[in-house]
Amino acid sequence: MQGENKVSFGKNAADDIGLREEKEGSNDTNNLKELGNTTVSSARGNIHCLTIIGQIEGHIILPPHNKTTKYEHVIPQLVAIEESEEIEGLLLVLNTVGGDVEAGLAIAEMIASMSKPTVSLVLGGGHSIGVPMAVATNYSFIAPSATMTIHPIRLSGMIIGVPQTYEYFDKMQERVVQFVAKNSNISREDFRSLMLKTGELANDVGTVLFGEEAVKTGLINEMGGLSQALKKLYELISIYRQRKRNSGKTESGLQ
Amino acid sequence: MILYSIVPWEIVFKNDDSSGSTFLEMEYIGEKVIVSPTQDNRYVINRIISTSPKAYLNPKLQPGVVIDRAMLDGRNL
Repeated sequence: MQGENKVSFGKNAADDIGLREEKEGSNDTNNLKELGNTTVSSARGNIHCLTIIGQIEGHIILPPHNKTTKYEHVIPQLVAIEESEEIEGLLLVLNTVGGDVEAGLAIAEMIASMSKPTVSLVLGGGHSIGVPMAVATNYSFIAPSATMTIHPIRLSGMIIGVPQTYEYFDKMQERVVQFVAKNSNISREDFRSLMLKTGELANDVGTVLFGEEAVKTGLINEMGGLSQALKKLYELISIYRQRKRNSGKTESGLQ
Repeated sequence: MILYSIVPWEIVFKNDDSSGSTFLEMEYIGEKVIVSPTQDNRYVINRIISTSPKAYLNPKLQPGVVIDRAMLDGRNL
């Protein structure tokens, strides 16, 4: 019985949305019904979605058993989104185990420097280099069940046992720490202490943050899911549109 | 390259030749797709690489769709 109720509720809700959109009288609704295709350009905005999954791949092509998000795919897409007349916002969906520091930071910096509204949603996991990517957007969400692992950059390959080796890695790590501190509400010191915490990870130094903890530490703005993320993005888009309109006015006023 | 990941280096770079399938990156009806070749000289879509939500709703671009060689916009990028 309960199941039936749910179905009928769902149907009603869908009808409601259908009715509302029909009232607005757009061709898009017809297209959706007849052809199954959607232009996601509504009065609310036109958004694109970038999914970051698996390993972030940078300078080295990873063996084929890795699922990767490639630098050379993502960067041109970000440029296209920033340049496009139609696209008004970007939703970044993350479920990543980390990867190349330079590629991850490059993508994060690109997103942070975009003028269009951006919102991120961490699902499953946003670990290691996924952390700066998650905080790079204007506003960030994390699913309650998602986790973020914050740990020091590990030494690998040939290592010379001199203090300079440590200093070098500390410097590399500092790039991540600085980016995160600059783009979220967590302080440099707090983030570093999470990174170097012991007793949380088996055989390693660092911290695992659950959704709620990630919000509490100030790393992520809010807990939520897809609908909350989209709502926030549309909210930012309307502010962006207003600002654009206002700046247009002043420009024409000057001329 | 500095790997900053929760997956250990040995697992990321493990030598694994057992996965015999090859994937190619191609352009198909304006979108970038990852395809794997079939025995009859055609390609099966494995993955779409696009930020446009529209691309993922296009029935012609669904994973598993078989495409003819002649239909591809660009060869093996």
